[in-house]
Amino acid sequence: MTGAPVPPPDAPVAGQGDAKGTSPGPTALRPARPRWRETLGLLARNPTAAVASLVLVGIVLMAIFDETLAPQGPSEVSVQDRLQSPSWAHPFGTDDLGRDILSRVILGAGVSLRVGFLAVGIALVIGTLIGLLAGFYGRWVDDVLMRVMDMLFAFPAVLLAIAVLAVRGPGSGNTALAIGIVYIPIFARVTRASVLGVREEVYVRASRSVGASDFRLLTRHVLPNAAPPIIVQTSISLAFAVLAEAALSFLGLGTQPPNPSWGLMLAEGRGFIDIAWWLAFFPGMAIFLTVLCFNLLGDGLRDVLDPRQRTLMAGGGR
Amino acid sequence: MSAPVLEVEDLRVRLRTPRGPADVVNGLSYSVGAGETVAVVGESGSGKSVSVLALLGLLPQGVATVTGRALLQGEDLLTMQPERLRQVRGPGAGMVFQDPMTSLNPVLTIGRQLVEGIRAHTDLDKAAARRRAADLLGEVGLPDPAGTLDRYPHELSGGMRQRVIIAIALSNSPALLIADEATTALDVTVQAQIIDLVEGLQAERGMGVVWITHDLGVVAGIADRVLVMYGGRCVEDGTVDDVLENPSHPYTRGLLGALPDLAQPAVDGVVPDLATVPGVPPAPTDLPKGCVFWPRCPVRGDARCETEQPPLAIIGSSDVALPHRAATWCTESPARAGSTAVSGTFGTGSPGTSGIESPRGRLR
Amino acid sequence: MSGEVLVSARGVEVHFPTGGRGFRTAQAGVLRAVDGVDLDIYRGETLGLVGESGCGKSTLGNALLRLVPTTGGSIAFDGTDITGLQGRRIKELRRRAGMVFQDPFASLDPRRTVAQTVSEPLEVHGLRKGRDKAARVAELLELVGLDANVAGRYPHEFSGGQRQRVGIARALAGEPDFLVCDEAIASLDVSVQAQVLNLLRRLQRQLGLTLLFISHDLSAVRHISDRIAVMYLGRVVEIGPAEAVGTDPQMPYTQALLSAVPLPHPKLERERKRVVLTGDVPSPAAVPSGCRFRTRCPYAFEPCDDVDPALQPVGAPGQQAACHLHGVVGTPATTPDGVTATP
Repeated sequence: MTGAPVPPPDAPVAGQGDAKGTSPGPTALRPARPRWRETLGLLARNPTAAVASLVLVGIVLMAIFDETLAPQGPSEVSVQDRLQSPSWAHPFGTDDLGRDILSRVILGAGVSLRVGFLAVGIALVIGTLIGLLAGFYGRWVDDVLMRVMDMLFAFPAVLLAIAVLAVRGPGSGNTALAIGIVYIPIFARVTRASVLGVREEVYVRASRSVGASDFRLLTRHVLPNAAPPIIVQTSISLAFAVLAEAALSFLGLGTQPPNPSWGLMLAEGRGFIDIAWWLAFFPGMAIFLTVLCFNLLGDGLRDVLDPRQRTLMAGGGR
Repeated sequence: MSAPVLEVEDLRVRLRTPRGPADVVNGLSYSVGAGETVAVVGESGSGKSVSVLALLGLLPQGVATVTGRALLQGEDLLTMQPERLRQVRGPGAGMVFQDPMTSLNPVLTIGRQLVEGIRAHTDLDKAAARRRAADLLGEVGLPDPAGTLDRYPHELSGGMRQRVIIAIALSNSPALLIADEATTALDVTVQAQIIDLVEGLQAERGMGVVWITHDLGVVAGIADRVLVMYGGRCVEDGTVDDVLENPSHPYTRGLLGALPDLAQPAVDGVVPDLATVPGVPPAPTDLPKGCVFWPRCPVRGDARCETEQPPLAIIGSSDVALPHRAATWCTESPARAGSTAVSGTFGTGSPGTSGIESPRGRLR
Repeated sequence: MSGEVLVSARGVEVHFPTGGRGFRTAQAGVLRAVDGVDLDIYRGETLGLVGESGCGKSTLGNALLRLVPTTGGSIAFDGTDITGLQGRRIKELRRRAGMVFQDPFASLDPRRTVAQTVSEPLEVHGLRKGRDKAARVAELLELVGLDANVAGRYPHEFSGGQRQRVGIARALAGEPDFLVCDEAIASLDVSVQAQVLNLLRRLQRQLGLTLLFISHDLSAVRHISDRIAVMYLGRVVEIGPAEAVGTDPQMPYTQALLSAVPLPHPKLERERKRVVLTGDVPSPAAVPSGCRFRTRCPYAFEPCDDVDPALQPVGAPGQQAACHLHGVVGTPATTPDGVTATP
């Protein structure tokens, strides 16, 4: 006999694809990496999504350190400097009260993003919970919850937001609440659809067969596996929430002066568009850039979180 | 036997994959005569399905590189223009795939799908093609052929769907029928029906049949000749009796030993453990240098196993029409254990000879 | 094997409503997936449950573990009726009875490591904590022939056979008495099937498990089982020692099934006489009256239409078949319910 010793017939086997038409190649010996790190790694290979994430990180950092970054206070009025075009002293120019627009854009980021995150946070938590319960339990739970969602969905979004603000009064917090309520049915639907698929997976049944409670099934198996579309929806909804905040502020229902908010600044700049374009242009660009980046990130996540795409990209990038 | 219907010579398929080139089929040669059934056996990843998809030009272009020769009634399929290949696919070679659920278009009636195939290769008018379609459905044993024409695939059972697919494959009287795991998704009793059907049709029409399967039991019943594939190579071929009763390649022996065998008698009421082949097949991107089975081989009886690829060499008599060949350096073959003991319990044993006689006879 | 019954089913029925819910209830019928099964599984034995697709074998296996609700009959597990169990008691049943699923690619949560999957029963039942838990996971992995250091890997890094071993380790984690293997080898390649079959046999002996091995593959069933039960259209139609059922079946359906199993022996195959059944299995939503096999049975005669045959002892000791050829025994079909609900 030559060669290496023969492994015993029932020995542990290392390696690949012995089941039918599956498992490509020698992935078996790759060390385990947490999924989120793999996701980040894959995202980094998608240039648009990577740039978008970097820009968003920049915007968030800007919002956090706004006080330090802003050259002036948001409400520092200086009448002699009113309506100055962009210059070294005021890179984005000044408005009709002589306030520095760069400072107001920087400080407005905080307001816009806070409202956006808060609104999506409300919608995400409540919507996902409703979708999770409706999708998992089905039957009358599904019927009741989703009919309520349909009613909410059927209501024109702006009207609903205006109604909430009319009842609770304007302001950032209430704006976030209003937008959040409008977005609940979207998250409920996305979650429900995803849960309906995951619920039928054999591994959920397998987990039930060893005695796992519904709570455990929902938190350990169903939600994590149903998460990808919800994550994508979150990113895209953030874009829309920033936009919605701008729209409501524009209508005078959101953030109240003199607090800076991009939407509000846009509204205020409207009157001067023919003599001082920079009043509306820079807040508009800020909105545009943020919304675009959230959308691009959403698209990138959609690709990365799709298991089929994942395999292809993971293989291709070796 | 007359000139072969299909003659494959040194077929090689290389696929481009993210992990580098994969040599899925490596020098496969065989021929199929009229009225002959050749079974290609192997586990998943052995290259058995790819080898026939390559013949019919059904592999994605730009991903697969196919070389060698494949003469279908004298014409080389591999160098054929795409237009000609399309013409050949119907009347030359019909194909039946594994999954009867997905090989039919769910939104078209059975009739539409059959008539389409017939009209593409003949100049029959619609009514004539429809009559022919009904005849074909009758021929594959579907009850109410005319009515079936107007039904949709989801209205039929799995066995009936597979019959329809066979009817489509036969619609242009091909000289060659290729069945790729055609009965794998079916229940055994339905599988028996389909095998009977194909054998009957073959006897009637004199088609050559290439039957691709992982099931050695099906092979024993249907094949004249067997070709065992492993790692994209033919490791053993010969008549069905030679290969299954006297397997010579360690892989073939391993495969047979791993099969739970209804005909194997219990010893003291206990059936012995199955022999297993340790490990898993090699990835086609990373084939071993010597004998393709070497890393898993329990024999390794030769110094060349590790370094030199064994040729497909004749074992035993070379004086027969279909010599028994194996690609291994270790040829001393113990006769297959159990094959003699088997006939005792099963023999001609037609089921039902014991407890049950003709019902009426017994009841009177 | 002892003579003690671990699982006992009496007249078990699992019927599903068909047709719509809500507004479309008018069309609804009943799908009789399992339709009156009597079955005893003895402690320490391996019972093979074989039948073709749609015969209800998987549904029965799920029903025995209360993973599918029964609509009739009773199931006793170790002497306790489990059909009405709630809460804590049902959790205890889940610990004492495990399941191995068919598709090893679907039965493991892709987002959880092998250790998380295998330790789930330990956490659910509060059996081990911390260091003990990790040690137990390692022990279980080694028990099923995997290396203990694969615990941190994710399922997609494994082959089908390895995944199935992980699935078996999970099922064994709670030290169950009873294991249901539902087509556990059907999606595996032949050589891997053999590995898993050998493993199951070894575990059954080593741990004294009671095994219900559900499969459509009569060769595999006969290989692993002590006794075999054959199902057809929601009913057990024959049951007996594996050797007897596998070589000398007494029910025409079993004979047809047996004769249709391809054998890897060319000479035998040529000599063999096949009982080729005609037609398809009737839909479980339209079960024939009397004997449910009569529509395809080559021997069907008068009583088959009217009398629903009961299992009766016939052939080898312990062998039973539901067939009038061995004497007309059974319940006469009652027209309102027994006859099919064909539209």
